[in-house]
Amino acid sequence: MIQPRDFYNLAQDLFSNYAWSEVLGRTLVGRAYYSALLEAKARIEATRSALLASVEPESIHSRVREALKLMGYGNVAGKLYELGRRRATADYFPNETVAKPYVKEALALCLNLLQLLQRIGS
Amino acid sequence: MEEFYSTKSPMYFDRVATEFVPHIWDAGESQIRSRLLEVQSSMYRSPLTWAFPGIADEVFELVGRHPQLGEFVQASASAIQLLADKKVPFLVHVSQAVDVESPEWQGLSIEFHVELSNFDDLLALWDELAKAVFDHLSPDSAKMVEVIVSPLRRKQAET
Repeated sequence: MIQPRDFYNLAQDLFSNYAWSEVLGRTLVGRAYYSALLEAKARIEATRSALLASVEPESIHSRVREALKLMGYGNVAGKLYELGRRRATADYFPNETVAKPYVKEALALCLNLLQLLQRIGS
Repeated sequence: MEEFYSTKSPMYFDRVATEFVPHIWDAGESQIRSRLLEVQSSMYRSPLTWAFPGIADEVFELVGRHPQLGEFVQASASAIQLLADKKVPFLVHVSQAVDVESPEWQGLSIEFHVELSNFDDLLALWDELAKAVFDHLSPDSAKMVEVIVSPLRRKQAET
């Protein structure tokens, strides 16, 4: 079974070792976001199993952030929101430039999120 | 606009927060709107203005629908004080938060643009600022607020 962090590891590997292109960068931002989102979801389910089902928003994206805030991790929720914004730009706005520093920051944000999420429930 | 780089006005902001915030969420929609406008216009009048360079109508409308969100002013003041203490140049942008994957979700984005060259330092500061904000929000408000920290780039402040 894959782990959410595997998506980040793959994205970081491709960023470091493959020739840069904007298409690659956009793809990596998406993998980084889902790595963090899925890790957050798994951490919440492991520590507060009923919480995700109890919060109001319909989509898993906003439910995870709301649950994190109710658990006292507003910083993690905000960082996930920002990474999600970057993912939306990368996926839905082809006319906006996604430059290499933007992707590098997204990967750093993802790594930071994974480190913060590791502390939940440990 | 260079005044956005000033970090000299925490006392001014404290005064604004103290005078206008405590009952803001007990007021009706029109009162909330006028109080927030008063906060905004007072800041524009101050030569030390740097926070909240503009608050969009959509924010007033959102706070009007969810009066408890008025807490964001005091909560932001706490974070702004922290930035001033650290002497980090910044500006704050308050807007309606949107999530393309959750169109039904409504929230408030408090985005701190900070002038830090090291992204890891920015990430660490982000944790502190978020704590400063969320420590002053009730759970009902907290679930609607996103605290964002991003690099303040000179070009951005000049436009």
